Amino acid sequence: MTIFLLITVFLILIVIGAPVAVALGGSVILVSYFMDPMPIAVIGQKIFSNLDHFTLMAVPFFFFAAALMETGGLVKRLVALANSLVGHWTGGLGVTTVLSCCLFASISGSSPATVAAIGKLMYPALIKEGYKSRYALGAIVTAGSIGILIPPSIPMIIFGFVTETSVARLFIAGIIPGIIYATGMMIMARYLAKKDKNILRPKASWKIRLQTSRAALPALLLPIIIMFGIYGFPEFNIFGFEYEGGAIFTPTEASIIATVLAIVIGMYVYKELNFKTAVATMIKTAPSAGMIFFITTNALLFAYFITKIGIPQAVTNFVLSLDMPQWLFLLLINFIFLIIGFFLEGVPVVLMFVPVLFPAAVQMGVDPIHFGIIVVLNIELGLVTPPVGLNLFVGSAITNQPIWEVFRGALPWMIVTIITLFIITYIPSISTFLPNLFYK
Amino acid sequence: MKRKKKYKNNFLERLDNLLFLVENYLIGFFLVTALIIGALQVTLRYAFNTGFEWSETVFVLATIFAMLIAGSRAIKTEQHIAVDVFVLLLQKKIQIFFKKICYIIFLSLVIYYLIAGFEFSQFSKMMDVISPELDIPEWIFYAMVPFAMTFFLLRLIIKIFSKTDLHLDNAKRVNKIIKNG
Repeated sequence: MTIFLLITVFLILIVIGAPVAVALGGSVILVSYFMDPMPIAVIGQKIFSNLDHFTLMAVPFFFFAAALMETGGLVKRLVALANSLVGHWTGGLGVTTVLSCCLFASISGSSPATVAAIGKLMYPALIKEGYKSRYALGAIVTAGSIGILIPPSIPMIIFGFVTETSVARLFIAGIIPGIIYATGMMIMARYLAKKDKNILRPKASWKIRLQTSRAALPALLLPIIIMFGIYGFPEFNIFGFEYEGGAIFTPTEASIIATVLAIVIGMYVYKELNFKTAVATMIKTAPSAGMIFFITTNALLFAYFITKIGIPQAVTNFVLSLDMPQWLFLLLINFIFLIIGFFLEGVPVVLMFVPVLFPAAVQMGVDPIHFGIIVVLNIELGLVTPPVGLNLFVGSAITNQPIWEVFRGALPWMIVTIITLFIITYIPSISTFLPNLFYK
Repeated sequence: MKRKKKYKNNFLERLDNLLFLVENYLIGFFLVTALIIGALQVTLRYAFNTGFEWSETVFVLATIFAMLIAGSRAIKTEQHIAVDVFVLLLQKKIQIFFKKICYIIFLSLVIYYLIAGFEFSQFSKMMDVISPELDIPEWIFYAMVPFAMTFFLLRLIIKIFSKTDLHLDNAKRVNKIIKNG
């Protein structure tokens, strides 16, 4: 009865358009008041303690790093580098878009941020070079979704936080799937450009390539520092300076370092940023992360309540009672996330559904890291599917094209997302190989 | 009647501007503090093999506080994610009606959290718990929730009593967010 009421209240609030955080918190408060009262002070404590976790602090700082990269001129240098390297290929600018998204994704943890940053630069360039509008729109919104697969990734941080899985392991697990996805996107970029008979661009000279590489070098150092910082160097002892090996900093500290480096590079190397603009950029970006924090605290209150009334356990028991094979369970998981992805964004999806489905997945023998990557890939698909696909909205906003047009542009590219999803789902070693190698 | 309405709008506008300013200062100050302390923590630990035992706590508290206030700003910029596809199918007047209803529900939840946060701060004050890292009473940390909820409350009052925009579709809303931050 309690669960029936909880779901009914939650759905009513969602349907009338209440914010997801309000639907989560409101349904718990109302239902617990009538069915299973919780002391008001406990809720007061939970609102604060749900956020009081060091891991969660990585979310705003990766947001800031991405925004500061854009304001500080790092993004345009990365795009110029990608363009000089692959711009002359068939579908060169499409491939450049994918490569730029990968480079940006290795510092930003957000897909919409990747679409906005790269799309603003690449959409006019693609149109100017004679690419069809749908091609350009599809390339931007789908390649932008790589932002959450290549580390760092905000949904991975939230997944690690909710399931108590190592965020560093999740990050490294995203690398091979990210490369597979990006390769698929590049193949699609070439195939569609060939079909549209796009004109080939001249190859950039080595002098230009060297210039763009030199200009982009400080920006490229950022992901390298982040990765080495999280996964560490082998042990060494040089002139008495001893290092025992292992990680240098945690993913949260990596987010701080990324933000600081983005400010330093923007201010002192590219000279396109000053202290005032840097702070203004952080203030401007803060509401996106603040909204995630408010959803998080409400979603964890929701998760606490459903755990208290035994829902995750009941779901696990139900799944086990069906006695289905693992492949069917994973197919079902993908189907469930696909449907959810039509209506919800990435972070709420992780916060609301992972606590319910994760115990069942573990009981079914699915590796937690593998499950995390499957969830992230499903989120990527959800980002480009209407009616609630955030990448579609961002793509539409920055290009002034209707949502429907953006979605139609994204359709052929989504084939790559779906194929990648199936490959990753049914070959777990793609996700688990690197974490197992680094963390024996 | 007209004068009363004008006075109300002026008051809401002034309140909005004041909140905007205070939010900017609070978010900016606490984020810069968190960033400096976070960077210092990493540098001191790995370069000089030393550090302050309070740095992680201050970093986390400053970030949480900035994010709670940023959550209030997200009400102004309409960044709190909602599934509005069903409401968008309705007539404009009904859309506005539902939007107001949602704001009122949001306001009720915020009032509840404000009271809950206040109750827990009071309880913590009564228990006289001292933070081991910072050596200050812990109720001060918990008071962040009612303090931030007051900002949420004021923002929602502005939203409820000011003229509601005709419902923006998501693309227009994202565009507005990109333009205005």
